[in-house]
This record gives sequence, C-alpha cells and structure tokens, in this order.
Amino acid sequence: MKGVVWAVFLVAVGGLAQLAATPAAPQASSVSGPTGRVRTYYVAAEEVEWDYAPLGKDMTTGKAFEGTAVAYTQPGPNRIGHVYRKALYREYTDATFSTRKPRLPQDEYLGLLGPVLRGEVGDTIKVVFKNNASHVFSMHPHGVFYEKASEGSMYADNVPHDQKMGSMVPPGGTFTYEWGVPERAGPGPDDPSSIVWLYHSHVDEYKDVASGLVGPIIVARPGQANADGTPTDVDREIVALFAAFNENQSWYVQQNIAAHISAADWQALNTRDAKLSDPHQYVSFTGNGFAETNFKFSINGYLYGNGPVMTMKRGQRVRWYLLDVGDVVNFHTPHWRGNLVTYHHARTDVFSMLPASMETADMVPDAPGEWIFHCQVDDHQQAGMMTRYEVLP
Amino acid sequence: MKKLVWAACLVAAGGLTRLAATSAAPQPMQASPAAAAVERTYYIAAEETEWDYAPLGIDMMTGEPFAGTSAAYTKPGPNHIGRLYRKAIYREYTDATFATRKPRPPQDEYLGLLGPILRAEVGDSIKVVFKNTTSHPYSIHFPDDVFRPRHAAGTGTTVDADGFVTNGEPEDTVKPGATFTYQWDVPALAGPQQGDPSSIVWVYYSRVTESKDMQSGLVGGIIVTGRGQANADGTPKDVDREIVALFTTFNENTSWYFPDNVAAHISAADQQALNKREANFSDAQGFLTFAGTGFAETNYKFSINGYLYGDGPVMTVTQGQRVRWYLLGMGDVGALNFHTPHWHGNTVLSRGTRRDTIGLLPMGTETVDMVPDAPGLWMFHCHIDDHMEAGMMARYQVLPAPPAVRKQPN
Repeated sequence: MKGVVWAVFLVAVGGLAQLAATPAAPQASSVSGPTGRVRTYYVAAEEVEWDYAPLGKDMTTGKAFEGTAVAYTQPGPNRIGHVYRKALYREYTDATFSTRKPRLPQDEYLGLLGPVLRGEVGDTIKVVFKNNASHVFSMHPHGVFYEKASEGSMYADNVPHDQKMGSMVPPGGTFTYEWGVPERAGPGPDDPSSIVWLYHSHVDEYKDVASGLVGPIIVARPGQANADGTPTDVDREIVALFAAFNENQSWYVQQNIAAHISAADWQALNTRDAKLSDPHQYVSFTGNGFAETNFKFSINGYLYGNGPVMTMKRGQRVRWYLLDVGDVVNFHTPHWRGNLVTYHHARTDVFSMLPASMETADMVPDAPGEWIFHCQVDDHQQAGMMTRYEVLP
Repeated sequence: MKKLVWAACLVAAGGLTRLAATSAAPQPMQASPAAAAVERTYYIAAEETEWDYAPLGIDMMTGEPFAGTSAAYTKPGPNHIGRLYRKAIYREYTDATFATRKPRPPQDEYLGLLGPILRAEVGDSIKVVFKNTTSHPYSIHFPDDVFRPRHAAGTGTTVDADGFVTNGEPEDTVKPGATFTYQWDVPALAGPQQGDPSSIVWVYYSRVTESKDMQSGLVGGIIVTGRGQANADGTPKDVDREIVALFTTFNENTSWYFPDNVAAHISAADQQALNKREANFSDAQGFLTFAGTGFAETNYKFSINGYLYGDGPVMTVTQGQRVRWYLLGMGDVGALNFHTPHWHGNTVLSRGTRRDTIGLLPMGTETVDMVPDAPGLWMFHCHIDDHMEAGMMARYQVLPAPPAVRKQPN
C-alpha cells in the first residue's frame, strides 16, 4: 500500500523526484531557514562596441551574408551594420573594479548577457554595482526579495528618493543591492531543482534594455545546490536570451548613426524608412529599411550563428534556461534541432516565449553533432535569430 | 510515519492538496452530499458612459504631468482624442427595476471598466437579467463550450442532448431598451481541473458584433469555484483576497462610438485635416516603436482594467494574505494584444511553477496565487516595453501585516 502511495506521489509530483527519495531522512525536506550565505558579485555597467556578427559570415550557411542577412549585418548608406555601441553588465573580481572576471571558455556563448548570478534558497545575493557608463542605469531583479532601496526601478511609490538610491545610479556611481532568496524566489513544487530570473536596468526600461543591460539569476532549491550555487542534479547549464534588440530605442542610437553613416548619407536617410519586405517583395516583419535593420533578432546578442558554439556531451544532464525580453516583436519560439527537452512532464522541441518569459527545460542529448538552435518564427529566423549547439560524443 | 509522508506530500504537491486531502481524510469533502445547487442571479445593464482612461490627470508612475508619448495617449489635441472616450460597459443593479446601481466596495474600485464579477460554484446556475440601455444591440456571451445555457437559444441554434450549443449564435441579440434573461448551468467542465487552484476565471462579453462590442468596452469576468470549495457568496474558501485584472489594448478605432468620439473631441476644422489612419510608429526621437503618436495608434489604449499610466485605484492586499490573481487577456491582434503581466516585489505560483511574469494571449485567462511578503506600493505592468511606454501599468500595494496578537503567558 505504501508503495502505491509513493508511486502516485512520484507520478504526480514529477519534478520532485529527489525530495520524494528523502522520507528516510525527513529533516532534509524541511530545510527552509536561511543558509546565512551571502553571495557577493561585483558588476559594472560599461559601454562597448558590440559586434552582432563577429565571425563575418553566415555560420548557418557557411557562406558570405546574402540577401536579407546583408541588410542586417553590413554597413551601408542606410544601415548601421553589425557593430553597435551598447551598455552591458560585466563582472569584476572585487570592489576595485580593476580586474574583469574572466568568462570560462565553455561560457563564452553567453555573449552580451550579464554575469550569471546565483542563489540557493536561504541565501542573500549582494551585488556591488558600479555604473561606468554615461547614462543613469540600475539593476532590477526578477523573482528575489528586495526592499525599496534595492528594487532598482524608478517610479512614484511614495518612497523618498534618498531611500531608493539603487533606482538611479548615476554615471560613476556605485550602489550595493541586497536581494533575499526566500522560498518564493526559488523553484515551485513542479519546477526542476533550479529556475531562472531576469535582471535588467529599469530607469527607462525600454531604452535601458534596448541598450543591452540584461542578465540572468539562477536560484536552486534548498539542499539541491553545490557550493558554487549550481544545481546538484545537472551536469551542464546553458542560458539563452532570445531578444530582438530594438537599436532604434537604444541610448546610443545617435552615436551609432554618427559612427557608421556618413553625414551626407544621413541627410538623405529617412529614419522612418520602413520597408517591411523580403526578397520576394512580400510583407514580412523583417525588412531592409533603416528602422527594421536596427531590430537585431539575436540569441545572446549574436546573429546568424555568429556566437561561440554552446557545447555539451552526449548523455549529460543539460539544463536550458530560456529568456526573452524587449518590445512587441519579441514573441519567439526557440527550437532545437537534433534533441528534445522535457518540460513539466512533457517532451517538446519548441517553446513559446513572450517578453520577460523565463523558462527552464532539461535535455539529455542523445544525438551527437552540431545542431541549429533557432527561433522558429520564420521571419525572425530570416533576420538572423539562429545559433549553434554541439553535442560532443 | 505515514502521517509524515502525507505531510511532506502536502507541502510538496501544492496544487494537488485536494487530492491529498481526500485520500488522507475522506470524510469532510467527498463523503458529504453535494451542496444543493444555488441559483445566483445578477442584474446587469449595458450602459453608455464617458470613460476616463486617466482620471487622475497625471502619470502616476512618474508622479509628473503627462509628457512625450504619454501626452499623445492621454491629452486631447488636433489629432488625438485624449483620455475620454464614450464606451459601453456592464454595470450591476440591485434588482429587476434597474433603479439602483449596486455599489462597488471600495476595495474593488480597481476593477474599473470591467463588468461585475459573476460567481458560481460547480453545480450552481448563473442567471443574468440583462437590460440593454444603450443605443446598439448587445448581448452577454459566456464561453459556450463549457457553460450550459438554459435560456432559449438564439435564432438558428441547435443544442445537443447535454444542452451545449452546437451550431449558431448561443444567445439572442438584445435590442436597445430591451431586457432578456440568460441562465447558464455551471458543469464540472467549467470549474477547476486537476492542477488548477480552487477557483478559475472566464471572460464574458458582448458578441453581437464580436470585435466591435468588446472594443466598445463590454467585458467582465466569471469566477467558478470547485464544488465544496466556495463560501456562500461564491468566493473560494482558501483565499483571503482576490484581484481581477484585464490586460487589453482597446482598439478605439474599431469601437461603435469611434465617430462620436472624433466628433466630441476634435474640432470640425481639425477633423478636415485629420488622417484617421495616420500611423506614426515613433517616439520622441522619431524612431520606430510599436507605440506611436499618430492618430490611429493613440486610439490603442494599452490599459489594465481600463486605466493607463497607473491612473486606476490601487489594488490593495495585505502581507501574508493568500491572494489570488485572475488575469484576463482580450482583444484583437491588430492592437497587439499579447501581454506579459509582471509584478514587482512579489512572486506567484502558477500550476506549481514560480513566476513573476505571466504570458497572456487574447481570450486567455490565468489564475495564480501570491502570498505577498514584501510590503510597499509596487508596480504591476505589462513587461512588453512599448506597451509600458503606452501606459500599460498599474499599482498594487502590500499593506504590512498587523502585528501578531500575542497571548500573555499565564
């Protein structure tokens, strides 16, 4: 009888298989008090010349850019091309902000994403934020607990400005955010052992995010995290942000125009030039007008498979964290070729995402090879929303 | 030991608590006979009103006067209607005389443009005496694939053996000035299913001319609670506070009252010059966004319960309360009606998963639970950046829990 109860329980609860295995040691499931651990990160906002296509060719075809891909990546009299000034979150080793914390080779695919911040339920995440950019920025986290001082978002909430200094950090300024990680910031009963949240600048959300200030927070269930915060039941984690950065809305759009389009061409350019067309001259949401080519349909800030390949091994327990952010064109359907994921007791190879969607899915890849991972919305794919992942044998 | 197992299961399974409870202690819920079906009667009028999308007159998110894009969406001008639009909305009355409007309690004022919340427990019947006091024919439409109409079905309608409408319009059009009594039974199909919380939400709306009626403002919510899980008034027993929020971009360009609104707010001389299809997908800098300053875009009202830029009454909840949020999505795709409601400050559980942002498509509904732990006045907004810019933001307040009443040790 007891076996039956547990069988039902296992089937019903699914994702909690680990917890279910703990009744022999009941105290393990009652972990809810704070761990007392404080994880401190040093994060700067800094301005960089971001390259959406650093490899210089369409890596999904292996050939030079052509057609629509040229419009999205090559500079010209009415296009900025593949290099844009942006503001990004970058991690440093300590409060002096003198040494950039190097990204491991296997994490280079993270591209323009800010550093991965981690917490186990019960922890506190502390972020020493330095604004090395030329605009007022902030860090607004999703999911975690914060008081008004650490919300990182400016609006009329009856709180005096001097009590919410984290909502507008001026250029050159520093602010330390403290974010609690209570149970309600961690995985729900039907979530896997870790889930993902976004953080982003929220002074002028539209412009700040379009400028590039976005990153992930990963929170693990209590007792299911290694010392470094990674989940214990996972071998490899991948974070992928599907976002069409609207460079028309970036704080740096004027600088980008000045840097890439000659004064004479600028005179002739109609900034509202919207040609919603494709090579067949039919209407699509991508196009080759000035305004459309500033929508960068990217994954982690890369177009046409130009990012470092996401690598994993056959048979590994791989966890994918999918993120989406931006304006109304940002409905995306991430699709893996070659392998499936499991998501809330179901198998799938495609997800539906809207702006600020945050999803976690697990894969045990069985098909070795280099595979395309792309947005299945056809015109987004045409505009470059494709990347590559490789399953090593 | 078995008790401990069940305790762990209860904690862990969350949404499955009902299942757990019925197995562990079968007598309280399932052994008792089903509660006698209740007939719940509502008196609802469709009425025309001058709806104010921004009654507080300033941008409550910035605390400043409207400026830039927000001015285009809220201030009248030679090519903008502004914040006042004639609309048709559902309003509740105390009885069939339709003489006395049923007052909304102060804590429910945030419902704004939404019609009255209709409630039922599975097994009940909802009766709506509907009076159309407007100048257009309207109706009240319930999702006809789950609710079972008892009223005479509409012209040309066929109904199957179970009472479900299988063909044709499920209700008669109610002409201006006329009254009609609808009645729907609420079968188990309309209630919470496995994985749902103890209550869920549906949308009712006028569907004589589907898109135009809804754009004109005729929409409301139906909350259905599982059998045995409702208080006498239909509210779920395991919840302390319920909030209903409709995320929709009303496309005023397609409202029945569009010509009236142009005439009322734009001078005859300006109307001559007005290009009603003018679409400037632009912002202050003149660059592309999907919000814009052209006449057509500023008639897209990116609203929550009919309010822009936090101008609705604040939704209030208390720290530690069991708060249930019912989210409604409606509208057409021309007005870009996919939305991602996002709460600052607190998170919710949705089908066992932790979230602070929920995706909504037209006619989509979601029911999620929050136990707020972070007090303060918080933003609740659509996370689609251009929708935010166009005003799709509201405010909710978490009041601090009263200090615990401590018993003196004796």
